[in-house]
Amino acid sequence: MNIFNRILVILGILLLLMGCSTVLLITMGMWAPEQMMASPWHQIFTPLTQLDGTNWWSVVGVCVGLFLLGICLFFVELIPRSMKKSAVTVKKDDLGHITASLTSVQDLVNREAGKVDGVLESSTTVQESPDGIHLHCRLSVTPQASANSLGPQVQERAKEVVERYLGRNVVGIHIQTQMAPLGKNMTKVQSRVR
Amino acid sequence: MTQSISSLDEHLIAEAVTRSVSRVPETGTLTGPGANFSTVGPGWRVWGVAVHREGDTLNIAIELVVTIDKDSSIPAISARVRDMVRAEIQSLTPEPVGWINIRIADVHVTEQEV
Repeated sequence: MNIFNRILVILGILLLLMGCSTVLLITMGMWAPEQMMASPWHQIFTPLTQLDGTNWWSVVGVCVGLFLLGICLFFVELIPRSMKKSAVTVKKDDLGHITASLTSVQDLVNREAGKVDGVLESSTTVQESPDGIHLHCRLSVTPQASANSLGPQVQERAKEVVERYLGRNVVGIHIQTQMAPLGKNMTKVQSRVR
Repeated sequence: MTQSISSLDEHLIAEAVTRSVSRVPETGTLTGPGANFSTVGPGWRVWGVAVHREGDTLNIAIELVVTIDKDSSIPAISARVRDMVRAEIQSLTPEPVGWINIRIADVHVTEQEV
């Protein structure tokens, strides 16, 4: 949703809140229609002052419900949308930007991690900072694998493949190993070789 | 014979971009609903290419799938694509080409080891 649409939605919510407030105030007798509008327009709202019993509760209930819904929608619209980046910048110059999708970088790193003996599954997250790229690799390893020897191998391969193919510095590689499967969000190690 | 493109025909420009990308070995534009960019008109859509006009300048965004080996890199392939696209567009229209943004959507690595 672009900014124009969001402004329209916020304006709509404000109108809803104003309408609900007006009906509530009139129904509850806190605001006379004559004070709100000049004659004869105030007659539109006059029936609200004459409600009784079930009708009164129905109108008040619906208005309170819509008012609360409007308040919730208003705050949801004001919360900034997640600006999580979906790509890392490879190069930026006067001719334009070159970016690589995070998934393509993750696949490269996972592929390299999968070449190391003892790695069963790999899941990588990529973060970009002004000084370079940070990689966080979660590895599922065999019980016989040694994290002390396997970790540096994965770090070395991941750094080499990212720096070679993307031309960006890798400034941090965090390795986390476990023997259990990585779970739902993991990316299975799969050689993407043609 | 050079085909003249009217200043409004983004369809031909997008197709020219796709054509020039296909001339660079190991690259292709991303096609299908997975593509973030596309140029759309009545009854047609060119996936993986977005054509923007800023005044008289043509700006282009391309989404690529590339295959790389140990001797190539994403910046090098992207530079070749940019050069090819720029040359193709400039051979078709006098409109100046501004920025050409390239997004690598997917990378395939050939069997050669790094």
